[in-house]
Amino acid sequence: MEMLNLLGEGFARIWDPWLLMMCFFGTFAGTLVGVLPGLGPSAAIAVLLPLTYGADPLTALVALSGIYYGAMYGGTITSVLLNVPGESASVVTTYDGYPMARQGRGGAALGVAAIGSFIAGTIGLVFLSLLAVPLSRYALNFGPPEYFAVMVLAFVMVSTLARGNMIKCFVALLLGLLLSTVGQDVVSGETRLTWGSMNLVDGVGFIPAVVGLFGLSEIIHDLINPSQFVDNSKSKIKLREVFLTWDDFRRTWGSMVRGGLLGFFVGVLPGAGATIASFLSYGLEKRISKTPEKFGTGMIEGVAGPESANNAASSGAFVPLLALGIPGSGSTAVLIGAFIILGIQPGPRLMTEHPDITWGLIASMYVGNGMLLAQNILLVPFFIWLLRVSRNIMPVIVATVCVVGVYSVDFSMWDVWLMLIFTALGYIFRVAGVPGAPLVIALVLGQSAEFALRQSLVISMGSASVFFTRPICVIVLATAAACLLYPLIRSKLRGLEETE
Amino acid sequence: MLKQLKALGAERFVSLLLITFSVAEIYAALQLSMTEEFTLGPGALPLIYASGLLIFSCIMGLTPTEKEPAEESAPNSASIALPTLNYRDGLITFILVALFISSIYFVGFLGGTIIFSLLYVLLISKWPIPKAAAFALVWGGAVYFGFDHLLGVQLEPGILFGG
Repeated sequence: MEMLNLLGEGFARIWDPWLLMMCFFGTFAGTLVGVLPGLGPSAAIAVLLPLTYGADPLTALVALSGIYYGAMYGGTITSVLLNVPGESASVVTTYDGYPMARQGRGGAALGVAAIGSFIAGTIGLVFLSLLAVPLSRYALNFGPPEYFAVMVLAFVMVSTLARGNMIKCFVALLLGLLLSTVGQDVVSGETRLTWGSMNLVDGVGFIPAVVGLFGLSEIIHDLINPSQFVDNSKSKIKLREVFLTWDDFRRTWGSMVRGGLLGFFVGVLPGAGATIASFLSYGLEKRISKTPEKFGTGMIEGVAGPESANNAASSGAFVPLLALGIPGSGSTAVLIGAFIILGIQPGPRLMTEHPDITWGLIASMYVGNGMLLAQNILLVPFFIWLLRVSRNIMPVIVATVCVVGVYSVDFSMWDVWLMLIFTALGYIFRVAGVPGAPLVIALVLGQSAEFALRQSLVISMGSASVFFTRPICVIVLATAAACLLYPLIRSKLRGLEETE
Repeated sequence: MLKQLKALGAERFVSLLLITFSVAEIYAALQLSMTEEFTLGPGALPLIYASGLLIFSCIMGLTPTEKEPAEESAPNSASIALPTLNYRDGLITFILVALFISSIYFVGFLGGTIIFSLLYVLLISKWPIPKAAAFALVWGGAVYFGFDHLLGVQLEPGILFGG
């Protein structure tokens, strides 16, 4: 009942022409970001963040969040028509979406993705509304030791669950943590690891890092590895082809609901996120299908489930973000950075200190979900046309916006040069298979984790037992240890089985 | 095979780079105090992180590349990505962005954007000069107007234009 009242107040707050317009702008920009190669949601949020400085915090967060979950919708178009995922969460959509396009059923693939995303996104939002308040109330019992433990769990999960080799994930994580210590120490005020440079006294900004790692390096990679549309005639999709037939809906509604439930609960886990949710959903649909051998050849269920899961996961990711202040992915790490820059500390006190912002944001996600359904059904031919004509000039547009956007953070050319360094690093990391998400999460959370650790030791008069005598700490750290050891144990067991 | 060799070379390069970086940061961290009253000093965690980075970078450099997870390659190998890698365009673009940033000091954001846009569409998109010039002027003007006038972001005018 309380939740309904709060949600109602949120809807009352969001029902303002300016806020609705920003919601539309955010979701439209998110879809564009997902459709067009080169600028992922993390970089887009980072670049657009400085432009929202003068705005009301809710307005800024509505627009920036819209980019985040809007990109989940947009990434489908390139997956289906180019066999190139627009977003990492749309990788698995290429397995059956692209074959569908080759069979002339690209419109149906895009339609089922849009409708499935809407249904699952709504399911995710309902669960978000139900869980956010109880979890944040529980988290009010958290002190510095608990916060430190939760951040350790986030670091471990994002390293063990992120794509790529675990060693490489830890390399990225440790580099991010090390970079987070550059600059002035928050406790003693001493400058650290600056090598005498005044530019580094304020530390390594996460916006230049994110824009370089996920924005410009993506452009460079796309230029080096260009792709082409599926046969021209089959990529010219008419609007009527996007509307699902009754038969297609009957086949896929179950996949959409299953994807929604699975995606939400996977999305809640830090480090898991939309990508893992989409893979798990694909695996589930294949397992329960009567014709699993046909997956990979154009099964519509293979598009419906994963696309639903990735959208629900984006709602799930807001649970730890709002209730604990813990990001689950690179994109949500940037959103946390956005909260902090706008003067709002995410975490359990967010619900009590800023209920209008929290519930206004959640309400805007319901509205945004509806806007995205309309956009991704009605505007598909437009997005495809845009993708076709913009390929020659998109790198110029993205590069310029990145340079100007990063400069406008602190009006510092140093930040722009830093972005260029991270661009080179991002490309080399990509070729070497080192993921960027652990680095960004560590960069955003590293200082907070260090502060929580040092504060905990002060509270306990220097004794580390503070982490092993508080029940929540013990449970969270044990979970982190289990996540760390599980892949090692599993590979050993597999090795033993193969030997036998 | 080519992709795996490329990845292996890049891994070794990243590993060397990070080993060098972590050694330098270990040295810098050792100049700071490790403890404070009841808690860790400013040098403790940088030392721990840098040491961890050194260890894992060495492991990454010494162990062979593992097979990429399945998510990187779709079961239907019908991708029509072009087989040859276009390093020329990637390198030129990177250099152009670096030149763009450098030029801002002299000709400001407006001039830099126009020059960058013009060079890109001439060299990479291979547009004819009139079309390229028109696009560069329109895009440069739009960016400057949008950021400087509409959003109130004061862009660097450059030395030549009164910066």
